[in-house]
Amino acid sequence: MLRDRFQRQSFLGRDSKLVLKSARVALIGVGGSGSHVVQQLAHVGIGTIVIFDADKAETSNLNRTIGTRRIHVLLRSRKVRISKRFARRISSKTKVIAYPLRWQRKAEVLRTCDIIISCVDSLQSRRELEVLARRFMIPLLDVGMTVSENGKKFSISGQFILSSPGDACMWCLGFLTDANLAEEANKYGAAGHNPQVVWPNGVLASTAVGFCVRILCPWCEDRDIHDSKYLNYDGDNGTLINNDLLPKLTYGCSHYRPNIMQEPRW
Amino acid sequence: MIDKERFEKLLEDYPKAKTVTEGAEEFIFLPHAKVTLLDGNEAELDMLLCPHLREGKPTRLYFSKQLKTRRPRNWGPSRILEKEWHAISWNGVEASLSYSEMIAEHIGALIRE
Amino acid sequence: MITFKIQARLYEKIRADLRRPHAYANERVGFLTVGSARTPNGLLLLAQEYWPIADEHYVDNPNVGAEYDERAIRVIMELAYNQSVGIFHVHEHPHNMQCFSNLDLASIPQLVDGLFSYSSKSVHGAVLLTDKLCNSMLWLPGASSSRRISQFQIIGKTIVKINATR
Repeated sequence: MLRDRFQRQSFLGRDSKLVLKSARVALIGVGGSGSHVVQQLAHVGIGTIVIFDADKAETSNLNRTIGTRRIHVLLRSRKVRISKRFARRISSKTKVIAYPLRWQRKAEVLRTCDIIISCVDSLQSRRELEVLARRFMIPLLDVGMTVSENGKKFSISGQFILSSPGDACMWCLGFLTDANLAEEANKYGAAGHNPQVVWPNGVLASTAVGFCVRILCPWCEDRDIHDSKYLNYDGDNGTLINNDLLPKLTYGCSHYRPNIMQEPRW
Repeated sequence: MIDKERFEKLLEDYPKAKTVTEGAEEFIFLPHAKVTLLDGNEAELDMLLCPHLREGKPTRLYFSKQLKTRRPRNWGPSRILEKEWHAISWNGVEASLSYSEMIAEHIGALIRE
Repeated sequence: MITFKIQARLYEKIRADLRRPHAYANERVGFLTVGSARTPNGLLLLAQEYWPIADEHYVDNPNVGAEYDERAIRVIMELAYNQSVGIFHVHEHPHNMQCFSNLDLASIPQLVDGLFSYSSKSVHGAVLLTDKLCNSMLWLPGASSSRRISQFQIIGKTIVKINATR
């Protein structure tokens, strides 16, 4: 006997199935972390997923990109196509709108999304996404991981940020700075591929999906003064903890004024 | 912040210039500007001057489209005010210059051999 | 499809302000500056800031819910002009009365006409708040007849979507 596939998530609320089904979530980047996100969004019942990624599958993706197989590399398949098929296999009712290009080329599509999840690999892209999210009053969830050298050893770290309209932005949180954007710009063309592995991406992606669902179907009380969130991931010790800057900030954003919320007029 | 006095001076060369803001950044928008290339051809396009530190450069000049120059340039896209802009990777045009000088320096860097 | 979005904190601030008693006015009224943006399937209206009418700008008229004088009108016309932004009249009705009053239906179009003189490229209108629903009327630039918001969204820790009053 077939049962309701969402019966185990009924604690999300009586209307949760309908709320999730009518939600439209954008996912920018379907690489290491994005591939986890798209899988989970399909499982949880998000009705429409809009995905952007200009890249094709490569051999170096196979250690971490969920749903990508050697045949995709041989066929030089588009990452968005792989993700779309993968999501549709999980749930045929999930509508996946796939754009095999940089999101900036078709940014107007994002205006009607309820939530944007950013799994991009550059600070510049994050900066530009946050401007769009603030302009059109869209919660932006961002994840990223890094492997850095620590003497003769290495260290895994990462972040989850919820940039909530009206509250602290990535600039307020010190995640985006002129200095780190300049450093990134000056490295352009000289940077090699950063080390990446599957499990930190999974932790961070799952965190993003959890907050995405919580925004749509709040199952618990949130007494935090802030709507924005900033969690630091310590991949060496397996912890995800609140960044200590955010609690020191008052509610609000000093970088995006209310009058940004308008289509620019030239 | 855009310097009012320097902006007023800029209007003598670019009367249609106006200031635009995105987040905490201010830019100068120069609509329908004309750029004369070395081969004598003239291109008409919009430009966006960023007279402050951005993307690692002290100032930047963005163009509404990539210009065809004899020497290939390292163009990079940036999204500002819901439009895609193009700029070459060029350093050293200081923020202390007048706005007209800044624009001239950036264009000079773009079209030189 | 016309979607109106407002931040939760701003929405709560408005509701709290509209419920404050006034010395002689039966109701309170305020204004929202509202940005607009086209979408692939319609229009987004984005609430920016709330401007309550100053206490002293209300007219003492016991026959109506709220009446305000030319000083209040001057404030919002200046706002519309200086910021090139849309203005939405906002008030609430008690007991989930979802319909605009006859006075609203007569006065708001006149107000909007005036607003278009100051900010002709913006969208202007009015929203009427109740606990569960939202009624509205709005005019696009150049339009002779009004339209309504299809969905009202409150964005904060959660997203609350309220469909338009039928």
